Amino acid sequence: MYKEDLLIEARDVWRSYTRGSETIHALAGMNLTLGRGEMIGIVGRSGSGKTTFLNQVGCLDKPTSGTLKIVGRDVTKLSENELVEFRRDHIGFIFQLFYLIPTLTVKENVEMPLIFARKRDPDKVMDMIKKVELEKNANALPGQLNGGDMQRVAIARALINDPQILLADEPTGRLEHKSRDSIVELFRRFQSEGLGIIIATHDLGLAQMTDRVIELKDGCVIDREESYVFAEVE
Amino acid sequence: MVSNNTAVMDIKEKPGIIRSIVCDRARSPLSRILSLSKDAATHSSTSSECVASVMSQTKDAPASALGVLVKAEGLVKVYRRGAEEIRALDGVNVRVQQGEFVCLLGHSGAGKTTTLNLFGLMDRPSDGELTVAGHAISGADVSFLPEAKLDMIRRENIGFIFQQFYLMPTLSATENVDMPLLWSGKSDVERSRALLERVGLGHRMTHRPAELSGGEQQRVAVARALINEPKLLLADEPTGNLDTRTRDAIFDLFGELNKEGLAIVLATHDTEIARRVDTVIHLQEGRIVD
Ligand SMILES: Nc1ncnc2c1ncn2[C@@H]1O[C@H](COP(=O)(O)OP(=O)(O)OP(=O)(O)O)[C@@H](O)[C@H]1O
Ligand SMILES: Nc1ncnc2c1ncn2[C@@H]1O[C@H](COP(=O)(O)OP(=O)(O)O)[C@@H](O)[C@H]1O
Ligand SMILES: [Mg+2]
Ligand SMILES: [Mg+2]
Repeated sequence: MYKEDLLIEARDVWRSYTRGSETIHALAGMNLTLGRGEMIGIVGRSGSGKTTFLNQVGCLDKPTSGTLKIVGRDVTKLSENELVEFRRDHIGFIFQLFYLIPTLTVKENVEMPLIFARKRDPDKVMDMIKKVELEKNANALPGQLNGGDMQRVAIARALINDPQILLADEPTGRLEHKSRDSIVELFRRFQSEGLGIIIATHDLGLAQMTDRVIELKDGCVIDREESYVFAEVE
Repeated sequence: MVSNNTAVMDIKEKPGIIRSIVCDRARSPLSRILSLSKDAATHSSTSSECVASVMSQTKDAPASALGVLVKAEGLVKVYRRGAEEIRALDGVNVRVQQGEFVCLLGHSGAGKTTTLNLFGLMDRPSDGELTVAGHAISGADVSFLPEAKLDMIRRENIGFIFQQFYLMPTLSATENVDMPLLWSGKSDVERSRALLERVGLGHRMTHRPAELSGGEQQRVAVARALINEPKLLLADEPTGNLDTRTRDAIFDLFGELNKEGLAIVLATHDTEIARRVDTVIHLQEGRIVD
């Protein structure tokens, strides 16, 4: 793989929090690379650092130390304002709770990032809504959709700004298997267009549908031999 | 169909209500009390002047003229799931006046959320009459309103808040508050900041939801609900995720906003909250009970 195709390059990333006299290393020497068009699953017990890692990659938070390059940029060197802009240009997020705005229609929810970026483009919004197969519901309110469709709206919203990376924190935690599988199918469609995807999840079934599964323990990647998560199912 | 479980509420003639009704000419009272709008200078009369002018104007006005925000008669909502029919609301009569504070009290499944969704035009009644902010929404001779029209009425008149806050995780507090204005091209960051000050979050403007406590997140949601200068705030279990101290602080904020003229309908199963408002409507299996 060419170096330019590396979307994420994390080397020895630490994120430490101090609470009173105690220091918690939520990430302790995390390493990971993500290539263009690659989909990775991150598993690990609760508290192992999955969300913390996504927050670093997503520029919602800054590592305490280490190297973190996103689409070739060293994001540890960016200012707060630069980070906000960088995040909007390059990263899409989705979460277990879809965080759709209940009083806005499907179309408006999807449109929101474009409006914030002052790049209003109704045709683009409709194209994206078609891509996630919600054209029949474009004017519905989120409350009228089932969970799987709500997550499709969230995906459309996350990708409307054409980011290169999608970060998904427990994206199917609330969905039944059928909706989960159709969400993964949707991921694959975007993946084939070059989108890099990281999915943090407790659902091994979901993780194993990705190209590569890594497991975190105490803030760093562990080998399969040390695995907790896989040991539990095997 | 009109059932016999009727609970049309009386307007309580407390000063707050009267003031709000009178002061409210073109715009909602909150904007002037908060002095947020650009033309705030033109609204510089004190509240006592306001009250006085109201008195002279409304002395003999019938109750109906005093701004009914919601009028529901024989309201029915049936959900269909396959062959199963769920009568979530079964003939409910409610009136909400401008500036009133109403609590919808009931156990889980009683129909509280369904009621708020109908009042807030998030969903349509199956039967019965509904008028919201002067717009006939459903009833015998009422023509079908397209969704876009409902969206417009909602945006111009109603603020919503929910148990789960529904803030955008990737946006700052200020951006979350400003968001509803973006569609009309009237983004107003100054006003968003002023509203955050108003709800006691002046020191948290650039924080994202994950960096705020639950109570603080709900305050952001309240500020966002107020950005469109609504006349009516619909709150669905707004303190359901909060501890009792935070709950009380949020409730105090509602009390203040109500005194400034905002009508509030709050759904809860918390009898403690219900004890503190003027009007309580008990819902049980989709009907109003005493
Ligand atoms: N803002 C913070 N302040 C202090 N400690 C934090 C903070 N955020 C996370 N932590 C700690 O960092 C560790 C990793 O948390 P993280 O949320 O990343 O775990 P996770 O793998 O996402 O867990 P889950 O599977 O439950 O979502 C935990 O010990 C957590 O308590
Ligand atoms: N979208 C829906 N589809 C089917 N049934 C529903 C729907 N929403 C609510 N219900 C049913 O309607 C009744 C009232 O629900 P709801 O208004 O949510 O009650 P509350 O908010 O008081 O807990 C319940 O029996 C609930 O299961
Ligand atoms: Mg997590
Ligand atoms: Mg409810």
